Amino acid sequence: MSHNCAETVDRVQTGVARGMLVCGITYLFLLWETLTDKGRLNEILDFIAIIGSGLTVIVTFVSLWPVIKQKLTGKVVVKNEPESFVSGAMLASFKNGWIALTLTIVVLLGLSKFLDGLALPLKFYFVLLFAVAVLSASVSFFWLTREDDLEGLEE
Amino acid sequence: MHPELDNRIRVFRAEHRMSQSDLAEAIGVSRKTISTIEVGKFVPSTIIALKIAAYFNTAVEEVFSLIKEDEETA
Repeated sequence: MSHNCAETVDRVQTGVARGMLVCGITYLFLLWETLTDKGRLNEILDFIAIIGSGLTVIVTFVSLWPVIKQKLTGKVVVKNEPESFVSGAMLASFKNGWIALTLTIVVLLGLSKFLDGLALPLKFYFVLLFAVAVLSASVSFFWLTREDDLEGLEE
Repeated sequence: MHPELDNRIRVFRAEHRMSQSDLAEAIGVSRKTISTIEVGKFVPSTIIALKIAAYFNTAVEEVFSLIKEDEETA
């Protein structure tokens, strides 16, 4: 494992994005659960959501461990890099997540009269908005940081 | 490639027989940052640009240059 602090910062940010992706997928199952009646399918979806929540906590904790360790020991493991491609991609992803969230709210507002008639539980909308926010940000992050064939060229 | 900024990092690396990881380690950034600067996906900060130039013991203009408009259209 590399001791380059900048690599550690990149790994922390990638891990956080991975946690957000697992969280977003978990919330999609929760969304499905809110639409199903009590029964076998509902129980299965509930179980998947519990596993997903646990996975989200584990993935996020493991990713943030270098930062937590630094706070606990006072030993600098992660230095602030002046700027990095991955940090920039993370900021751009949060911006894309915010745009996706805003667009979803606009669509929901536009359909509000129709949605009133569906009488869906309020929880459905909160879960939907949260899923859109974290999924769009994490998917955007992995898209922006995908490996390009040209990048790996060494001479 | 970035439409305005060109760089010769790969040339300097080849002259110094360095990998992207070696250069990244030397100036305190990640390999991904170096590789994305090289292909023009990421425009480095002034600090990173100066660190790269200082590492190769050259002027920053030797490593980074603006693409002239006629080159862009060619």
